[in-house]
Amino acid sequence: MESERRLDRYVSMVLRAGMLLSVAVMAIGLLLYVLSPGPADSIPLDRLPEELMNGSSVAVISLGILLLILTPLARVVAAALVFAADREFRFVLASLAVLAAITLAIVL
Amino acid sequence: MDLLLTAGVLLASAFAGIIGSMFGLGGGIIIIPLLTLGLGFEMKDAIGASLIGVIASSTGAAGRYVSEGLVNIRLGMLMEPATTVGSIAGAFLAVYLDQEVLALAFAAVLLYSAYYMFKKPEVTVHSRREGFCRFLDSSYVDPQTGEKVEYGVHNLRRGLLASFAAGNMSGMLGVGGGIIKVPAMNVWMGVPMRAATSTSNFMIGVTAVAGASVLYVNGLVPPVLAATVALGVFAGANIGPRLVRHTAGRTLRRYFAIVLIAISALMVLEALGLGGA
Repeated sequence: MESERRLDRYVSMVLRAGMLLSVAVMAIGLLLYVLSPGPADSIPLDRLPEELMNGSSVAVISLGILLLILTPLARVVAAALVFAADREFRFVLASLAVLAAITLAIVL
Repeated sequence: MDLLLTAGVLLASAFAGIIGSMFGLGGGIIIIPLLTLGLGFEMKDAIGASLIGVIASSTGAAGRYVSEGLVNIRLGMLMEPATTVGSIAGAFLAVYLDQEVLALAFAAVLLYSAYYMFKKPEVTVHSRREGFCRFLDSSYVDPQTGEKVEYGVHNLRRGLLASFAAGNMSGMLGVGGGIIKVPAMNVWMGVPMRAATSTSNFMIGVTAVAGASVLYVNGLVPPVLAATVALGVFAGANIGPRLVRHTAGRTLRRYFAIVLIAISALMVLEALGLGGA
């Protein structure tokens, strides 16, 4: 099944890219943290850009964790796009249901 | 964290990553006791870090399993919302139900699945021509035998109900849904073991995202610990799939049954107040 293989290719690409990116950012952050340890409290999302600008190592680590959390969502979106391109609207709907269910879980 | 403790966290999470990625489990059930009982972390820190670990395990292993063609993405996409909605319902129901009774009931279900996996041979179905299930036909090349395996999915409704229940359990007991999704796919829906564990691996990342983002936004994910856990789990999740490649599907199924028994024993101990985890 050609379409199944294409779906596999794109989804695994997103998963691998997400993994490499988040590993790289987390590893750099941890390295910076080891070189100059400080308070390790978690940083609120709205202060993350500012703290990154200040060169905070914990902010770099938090960014890596955020990228990791976003990766499964990115792969749902990637799959939805492939389903849409293949005109498999049932599964576009299923992918949207996944995103809706997660949103619901976060909001509640 | 000093160097020794960091090494301990890395080792513990790599171990959880290996076991989790081999069997399609999140690995939270391994990492939480290791962090709290083994390394002395607080429960709330361990929970936040372990959820990030679950996403790392799923992302790391699924990238590999998907590219090997072992994951039934369509089936996963159908089961994911059922699981997530189930876990929301579970979180609400947890307030009203007795945790100990629930844990014992869950352990009984796990034991029954283990018994079934030991005693009954795997039954797979051929491609379905009618109904919605025809869209879920899939195939893969078994990395151990080199044979092409084609299979269809049946009992979709029961399977979706089981993933709802799996989500429920994870919402109520904090135990990952993978442990029940794999038997649901394998025993009820006719998905071969290798495809069932790979598909479960693929799904648990998405299931964990909801919980992880809530904790993250509320500042309950300890950054340094969580990132250390994630790196360890990633290492393990890249080793696990390689180990599984050389394991026959039937052997994998037997190992899984042993994991089921171990986990249900843990849950019984905990329900009786002897575990402490």
